Amino acid sequence: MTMPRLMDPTYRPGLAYQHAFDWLAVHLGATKGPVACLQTDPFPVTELLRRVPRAALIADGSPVAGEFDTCLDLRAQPRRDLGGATFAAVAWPEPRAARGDQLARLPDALVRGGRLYAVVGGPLARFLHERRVAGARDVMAAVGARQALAGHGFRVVDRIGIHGLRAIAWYQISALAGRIGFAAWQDRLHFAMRRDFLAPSGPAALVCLTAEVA
Amino acid sequence: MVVLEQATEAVVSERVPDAQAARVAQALADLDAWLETMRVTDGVGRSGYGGPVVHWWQSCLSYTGPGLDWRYDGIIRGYLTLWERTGQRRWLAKARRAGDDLVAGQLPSGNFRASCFEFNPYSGGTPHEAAASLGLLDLARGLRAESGGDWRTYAGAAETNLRRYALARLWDQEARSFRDAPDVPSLVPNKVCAMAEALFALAEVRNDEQLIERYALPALDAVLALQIHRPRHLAGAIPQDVLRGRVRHKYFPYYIARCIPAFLLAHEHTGHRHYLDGAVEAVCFIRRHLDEDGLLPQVVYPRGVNRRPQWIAPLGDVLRAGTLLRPYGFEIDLRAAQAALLEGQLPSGAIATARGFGAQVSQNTGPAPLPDFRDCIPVVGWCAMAFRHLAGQVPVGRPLPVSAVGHDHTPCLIRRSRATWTETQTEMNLAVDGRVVYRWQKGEPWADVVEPEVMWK
Repeated sequence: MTMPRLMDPTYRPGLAYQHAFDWLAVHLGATKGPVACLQTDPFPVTELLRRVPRAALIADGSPVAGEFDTCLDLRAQPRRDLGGATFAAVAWPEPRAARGDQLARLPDALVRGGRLYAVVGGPLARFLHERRVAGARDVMAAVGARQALAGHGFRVVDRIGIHGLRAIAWYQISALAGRIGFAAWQDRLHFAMRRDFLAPSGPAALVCLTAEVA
Repeated sequence: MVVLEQATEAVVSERVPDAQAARVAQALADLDAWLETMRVTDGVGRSGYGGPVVHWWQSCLSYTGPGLDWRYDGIIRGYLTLWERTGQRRWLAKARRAGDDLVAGQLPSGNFRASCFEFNPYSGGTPHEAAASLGLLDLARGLRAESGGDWRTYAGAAETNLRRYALARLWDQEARSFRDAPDVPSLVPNKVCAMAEALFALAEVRNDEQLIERYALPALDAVLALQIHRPRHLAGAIPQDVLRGRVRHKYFPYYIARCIPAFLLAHEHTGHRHYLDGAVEAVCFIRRHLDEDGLLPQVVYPRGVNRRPQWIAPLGDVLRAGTLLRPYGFEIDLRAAQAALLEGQLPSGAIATARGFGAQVSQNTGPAPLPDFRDCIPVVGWCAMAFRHLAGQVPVGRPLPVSAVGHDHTPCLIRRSRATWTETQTEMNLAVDGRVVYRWQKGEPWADVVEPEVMWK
């Protein structure tokens, strides 16, 4: 998935992606020991490396559409192969639908107790501005991610949904309030949306999965 | 060209009684001690002032790394003022260190890393980068006066930012003002005023009046054209923004206060009365909405008010505006706001961010059983506003006392659950029934515990 304005240093994704990438950063940042990011698409990798510049970038030789954000001096980020290396945590941000194979050698590359943190699309992903603009259809969904993880020896131990039905409902009511001239209510309802942005259960636009070797 | 801060500091110091001056000095010593605990690195060798951010628009609790945003305007100006008033060079060293943070964090584009405050860790923050550049220019001017050769480095970084970003990307030639984002026709008055302030400073450093005539003054004219004159209860207000040609009639007293310094600079430069009148009307609007306890509502609308949350540390900017107007013979009574600011100081030395985040949705203005956890989180960017203002009240020639700070341990609420907020010199954390749901180990660029209930932007 290529993103418009990716090279613009002032680009900022929507709230759902901000939450998701911050979630990745907190977990990788809290991990003692080497951490890595599986190379997916430029947008999610740039967002991850912006936050966790110490993460090694694991390239698997597949071509990458677009360039990484050179404005953040990431062009010099070394890409490396998995071979022989071990990591305490690995990020898998928005993998492509057909790229479950990226997990193939990962169980051996994770230290005992090491974790994989994945950000994938949920059933409501089509509501994301970034998905509508890019028109991407081949980004891995949560169902496919769970299958890929199970197929390569992982079990999911935690799941967080971001941007669920409650948040969408608050957004719509807030917008209606604004259209009929109740600006104060529009703002209050907007903050209700932000308060309820995470979806503990049910459908969501983005899904954050924590997995460990089964 | 008049530098407003220097013109008014003497007036302020003469008017602060000794007991008050002693209290302010202690508050500053404690605030300085707290700021030192908020130094962080970004994991790849760059340093700066960090910590979480809570704001009306969005909170940034996970990212705690250096924020190269408007906090640097207040921090640099505050330390420069302390140096000027006490003669102690350690304050200049801290101002210089802050300038070094910005220089080290500048991107090839001229933007600063993580300059978006509540939207961090992103770049291109408005008005943040302009405010940070203003801080650099204040530092450059101070060092130049001392024949400090490195002043050119700081001036150069500011000029790079302003020319490559504000002028090259945000200037809207058709609107003759500055946009809030390069691709979005927009105008946010308080941000335009911050850019104008920075351009006045750059013009003085580079002796380039074109920056004022071609950019700053037209932009300020565009802001003044938006100022409301009737009905009376809204007179002096300035709308929060114009988006794609549509004025959004929300009036934030805090942001209106931030417009005043630029209006006064324009008045000094041109002699035109309408800039001063605009500043006076703006402060009259603010005064009209000031509560007896010294706090302001968050947002006033043509119909209705959203009072909560009410800023405490950011009152520094409101007080600054009032101070800047005094030489023009305009005095408004902001003693309650000053008292609220000082009473808001926490045991850690920081100043409380706000009261009432828990009512941001409900707007329940009755007394809350406990503060919302966000009320408890002190923010460098907000404390910098207070720091800057209070520094101007330190008596000349008197050093600050030794700091006397401790730990903060405050019962609070998160999503209706009782919690405890704790801050020490090395950590900030939030615990619910003994379970830590948020933790930031000071010095680190990310919090290491952010449970779902705290994933709240």
